Amino acid sequence: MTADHCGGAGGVSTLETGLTRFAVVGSPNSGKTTLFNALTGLHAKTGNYPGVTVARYEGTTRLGEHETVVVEDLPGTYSLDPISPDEQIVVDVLDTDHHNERVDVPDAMLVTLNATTLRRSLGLLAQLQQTGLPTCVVLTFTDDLARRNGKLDIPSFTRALGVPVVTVVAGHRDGLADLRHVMSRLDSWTQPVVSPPTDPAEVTGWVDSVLDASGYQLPEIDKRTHRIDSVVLHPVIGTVIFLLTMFAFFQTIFTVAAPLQGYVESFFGWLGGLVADHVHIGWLSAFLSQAVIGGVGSVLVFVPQIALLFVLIALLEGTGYLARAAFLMDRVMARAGLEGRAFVALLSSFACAIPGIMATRSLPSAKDRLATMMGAPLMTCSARLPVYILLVSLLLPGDAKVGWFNARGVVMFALYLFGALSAMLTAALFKKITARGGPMLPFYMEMPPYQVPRWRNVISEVWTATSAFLRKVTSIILATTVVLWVLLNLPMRSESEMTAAGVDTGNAAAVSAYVIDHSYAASVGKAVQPVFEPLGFDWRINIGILSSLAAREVFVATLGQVAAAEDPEQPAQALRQMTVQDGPHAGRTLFDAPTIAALLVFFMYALQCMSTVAVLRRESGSWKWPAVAFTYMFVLAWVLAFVARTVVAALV
Amino acid sequence: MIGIHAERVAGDDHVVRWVVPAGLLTAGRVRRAPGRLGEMLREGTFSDVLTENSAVWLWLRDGLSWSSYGATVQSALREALADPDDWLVEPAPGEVLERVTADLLAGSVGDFIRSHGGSVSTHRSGDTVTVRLGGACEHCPAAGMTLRGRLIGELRGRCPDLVEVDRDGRELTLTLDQYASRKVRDSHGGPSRSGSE
Amino acid sequence: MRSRVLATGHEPASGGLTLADIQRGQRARVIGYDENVEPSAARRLFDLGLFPGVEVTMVRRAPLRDPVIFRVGDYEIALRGVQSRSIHVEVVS
Repeated sequence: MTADHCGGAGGVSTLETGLTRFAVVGSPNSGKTTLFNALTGLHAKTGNYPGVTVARYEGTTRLGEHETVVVEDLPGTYSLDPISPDEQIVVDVLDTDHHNERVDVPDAMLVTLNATTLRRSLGLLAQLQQTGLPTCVVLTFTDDLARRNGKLDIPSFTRALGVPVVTVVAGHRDGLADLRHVMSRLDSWTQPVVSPPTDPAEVTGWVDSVLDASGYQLPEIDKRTHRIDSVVLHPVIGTVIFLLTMFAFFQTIFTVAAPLQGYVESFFGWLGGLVADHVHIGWLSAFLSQAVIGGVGSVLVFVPQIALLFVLIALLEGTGYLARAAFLMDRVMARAGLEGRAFVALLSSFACAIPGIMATRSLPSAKDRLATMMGAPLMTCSARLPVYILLVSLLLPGDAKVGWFNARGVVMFALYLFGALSAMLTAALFKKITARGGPMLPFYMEMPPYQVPRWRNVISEVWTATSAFLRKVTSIILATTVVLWVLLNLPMRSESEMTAAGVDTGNAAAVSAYVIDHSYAASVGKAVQPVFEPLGFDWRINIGILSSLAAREVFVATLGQVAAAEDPEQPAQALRQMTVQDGPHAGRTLFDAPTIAALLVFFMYALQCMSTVAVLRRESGSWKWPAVAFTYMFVLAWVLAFVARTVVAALV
Repeated sequence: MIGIHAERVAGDDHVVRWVVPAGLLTAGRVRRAPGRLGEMLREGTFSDVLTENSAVWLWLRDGLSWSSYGATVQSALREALADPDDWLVEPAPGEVLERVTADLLAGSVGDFIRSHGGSVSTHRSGDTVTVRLGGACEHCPAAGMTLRGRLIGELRGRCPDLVEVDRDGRELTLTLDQYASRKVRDSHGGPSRSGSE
Repeated sequence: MRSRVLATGHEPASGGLTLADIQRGQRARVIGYDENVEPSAARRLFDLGLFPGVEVTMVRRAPLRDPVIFRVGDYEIALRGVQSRSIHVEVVS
């Protein structure tokens, strides 16, 4: 990195559209994202940097009448000596020596410095100025500084740094207007006459000198945070509060979301009714209602829950409690070779593995990230619920009890518990395997002061995450449901064919059952029978499992159709009566206890979610890891299902 | 740990005002310095070097630029400040005072005066500097207060050995006291200079 | 691996006191890093503000004894025993 970059705006490269690019750089907790959101509103595009699993946020902002510029939110970093992929990206993007061809170098930097952590933040500024890019310091949290009796003379500070300094306080418009004004005058930005030193020994002296000249007075400790922490992080009370928070978290996700999910379900039911009434072409009507509405509907039904999960996580993070939760859980996670922040990622997986996998971005260590990603799909996600509920109701009568507790409830709880334990064990195992070689990343976690979360940030995060989830999941699930529908309903059978086979063509359920029995999907189901035979599945269950590759909850509906149930959404009665059709066990009830046990365990472990596969691919950067995950989970599922079957068969 | 930083001087690209810990050096013109800085001084890299209580003014020779020499000078200066006793600083009260005054008047004090419609001029004669208020401040009763209050206050902050030689309404004559400056230095622990005391 | 003495040129005090030994509420000054610290880890500790000369206060421990929250200059950071044992300090108060 050269220090004598050509003076002036030094435009290195711009987008095809020729807009000026500003990069927002700063350490975590410096108000960087708040600033980015405030500048770009909700118009940010998200994506990934090429070849790595680091999220890229870009947006545009208007600087007055005629000028629009691009603003890019670079990952938070403590140093330009990177120890994680996120920090490497910052180095690559700011590479004015052009060793890296993959990303555009910005035209200027907006460096966010937290006024309450200046001593540390200025070290980063010194490194950033080695890039030679025009720099403007955005000083944040000056209100906090004042509140905690800290002081800083801005004019002296500006003179000492030699670059423009703009104070921006979150929630106040004036700072932003000043910033936009400064940004529109990029050509007149001053550069320091001499760049700050690079040598660590000299940099601390430089920082001291600058702060001294600026009349910097260290803020006192944040009394509010200190008081809250003495309760929240108290060994006993803190743990209790933590457990209560977790409990509330789960309660909200399941109970609060339930009525919202009900609304979504009724909506799609109504939509299905519309189709049935108005579309008179038989196959089209079936296609629309089953594949399209059924497929999309099955995804959208989870959106209230997923969105609620995102909201809770964003709130917890915005207040600063998430860091405390990670702090409390770190020792436990350390036993699995992971760290406290991995707990948060796994927690998010309880509704759906996808947010959980995306949450691994908060882990600085790439190995931790991978290990957690491999374990996350084992957490009991919401899509497994309909399957569990169906199977458990087939297995146990509603009033069966284990001691005082409802037997069904106990089994459900056990399923959740085993899911969580398996996830932790798998993550630990992966970490052990991949940890060979390479230095261990030191663990550190900043404990930010408690804040009232900024609504704009929360909304923006939830919106970004939910729309990303929707886009990805809907497209994949829709595609898979359509393909499956086609496989299940082709080849089409004519009336004469069916009557000849003895099917009552007036009974829709019987017709659809016949079609399915002789469909392409059925051929596939029969073809893979040897694999599933030892588990006690028959080809009809196989079709259900294959269809659940799209999304687990589709298993219920598919099985319902296959069983020629009067109401495919409530197939329990029809399923109870199903018997094995041929082979050595012909006549046995298909859904007997060992088979159900095997199915439950299979669903616990198998990776039956194309969306998860897709997200794994995007987050890990290649097809290798999703393939590994799919394979190991399939093998695990098969083996454990077999064990479950054998054990239950011996007990029953 | 010695900490220094560089500040730009308005209107002049050859000079950089290096802010250094206060009290290490006396005010004046630097004739000799230890280490690499001293070498550069001897080689003529600098056309002039002045010091005030908490800063070192370095002028680069014509043709040299701070973008190429900045890093080297930074390290050398820092290194040299570790041995403040090996510096030879010749008193030059008039010039130092002139520099500092001009610096202050280019900043907030000057802005204050100008915002009231006033003007200010400085004039050096030998070891003294005369500061004169003009414009709207010419007939303002508060002019004397302004000079005394703000200007002197800020000047004294930068040059603890400031001495008023004469004052006359809108005019102020100042110099730096050699003896006082030596006392300031001694109180920071350096040995007293051999010779008169 | 040589001692990580980054700024002051002092060798770590022979007292062998590390950040892990500091009690709650005690203040200590960092004097250097342990010999066994990896260069990348040392650099990171430096970038986090834990450099020789800086004052650190021990704030509290986690319920299970690890990690520990320290106050460094103007912010708070949680470190595990492994890291705090590799930072040599001298007690201030």
